[in-house]
Amino acid sequence: MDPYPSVVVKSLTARLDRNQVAAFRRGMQELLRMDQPRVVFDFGSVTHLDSAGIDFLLNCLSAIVKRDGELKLAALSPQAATVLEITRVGRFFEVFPTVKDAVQSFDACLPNTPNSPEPWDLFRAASETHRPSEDLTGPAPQQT
Amino acid sequence: MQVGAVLVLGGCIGNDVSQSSARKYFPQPLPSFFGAPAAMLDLLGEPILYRIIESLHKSRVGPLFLIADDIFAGHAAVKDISRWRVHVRNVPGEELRTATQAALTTCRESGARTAIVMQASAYMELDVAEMLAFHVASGQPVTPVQDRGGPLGLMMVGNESTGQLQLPERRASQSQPMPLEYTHRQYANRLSTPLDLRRLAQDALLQRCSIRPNGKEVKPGVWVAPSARLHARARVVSPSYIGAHTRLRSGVVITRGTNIEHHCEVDRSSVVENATILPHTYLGSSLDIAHSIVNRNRMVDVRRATEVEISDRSLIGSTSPLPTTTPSALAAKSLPLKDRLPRRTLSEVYSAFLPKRPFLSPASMRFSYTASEAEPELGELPGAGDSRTA
Repeated sequence: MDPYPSVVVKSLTARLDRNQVAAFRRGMQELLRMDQPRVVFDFGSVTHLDSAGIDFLLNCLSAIVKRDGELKLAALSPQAATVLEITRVGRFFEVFPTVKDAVQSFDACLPNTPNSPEPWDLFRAASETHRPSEDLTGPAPQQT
Repeated sequence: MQVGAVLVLGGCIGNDVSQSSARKYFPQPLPSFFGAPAAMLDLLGEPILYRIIESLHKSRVGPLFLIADDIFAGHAAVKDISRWRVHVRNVPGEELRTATQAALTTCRESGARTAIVMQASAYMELDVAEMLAFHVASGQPVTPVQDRGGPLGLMMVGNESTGQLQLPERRASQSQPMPLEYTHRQYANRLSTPLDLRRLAQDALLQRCSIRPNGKEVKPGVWVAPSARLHARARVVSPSYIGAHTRLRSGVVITRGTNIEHHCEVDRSSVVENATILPHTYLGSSLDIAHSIVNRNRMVDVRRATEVEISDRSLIGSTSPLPTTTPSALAAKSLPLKDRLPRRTLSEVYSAFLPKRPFLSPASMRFSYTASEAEPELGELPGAGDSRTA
């Protein structure tokens, strides 16, 4: 029997704002009731992250840590990396370039090659690829 | 073939002669951090000097000699080195070269036909077999070692024809050809700047070099020494290291390659990011320490290459005014007590821990030491207590 629960990967939506967070939070309730939850947030498609999104991330982290679990971030988009670095929230999380790396990291420390950047430099690397002309908050939501 | 090694802990061997050829091999004076060479500082549970020696042992180098400047004789890293099977000799600074040559002679007598002479200032992982093959093939008495950044403060000596282990001449003659240099391709860190020290800690935590933290890997990438105390609400984000007898209080976050050495304390709700906290350091509550090396009340920002000394002990300071807390060390270091109790030192110091002797209570001993020499009163720094962010 596996003594540890399996890793849950949650793909976040393109916009992590007040509206999306409410729906996402409801979907997380069951996960947050687990013992020692091991969660990876896939940021691959996140292009918009506002204060509600940051608040959501910190609440999730707090709830998961209280249950002796771990929350890791993976595949940060340049926009998300920029917001997390500016707000200095990113340092509270372990960040990985891919979801696969994040999932594997629960079981073993991944050795870095000498020329690879530090994991926390992924923020910088992602931020540098993000052109200033792009809208930091991503495309505007479609009017319904 | 047996290869010996002589580590030199002090100024460069040839620094008494301005145009010495030894200067070429030991180009820099020993870099100093907080008044001590980098090799004396602790890194992930042990002094870097021991890491250098460990690396040489792994390469099957022996016998090992450590020639240390007298001024380092009392340092714990030199005093406690016996378990590493190293012959230690403390000499005055001006006799380093003579003592090194004497050690080489002893090395030769014990059967080593080649020896490595290195300044104990940089951390390197040597490929001794390849280095030796290069040295033997070149047929030269001295092979300096360099990497892409220049000389590494290391050379291999040994003359196949004469069988002598001889340091290079102080003055290189014009007619003498320049020796071939061996290019080191393994891991090397010169430890010449605070940034180098941080880099070595990061490289060790990220397993880019062979240094392994002294502690248990409690979760992937997080090493904690057995006697460390972590509050249930303290968070340690991988990769990080927490040393022995260190205490993390509630709400503390340790993150991004931070190493906190032994006997430190991080007070409530402080965040330590990408930093090295040297032994016996206290970090106050609600601080944000980032990209820094902190040693008691002194802090170096590695990105700005600046050092500040903070007099407000509620911000950063020392967890203990004494380097060691054993009663005997307490007595040895406490000058007022020593003067007062020349004959009955031991009995009375031990009785200090009995409740019915108010004069010799631990508190009074601690006070006398603090006031006399451990931590002299610092001048007020303007605005030092205003900011909670370091």
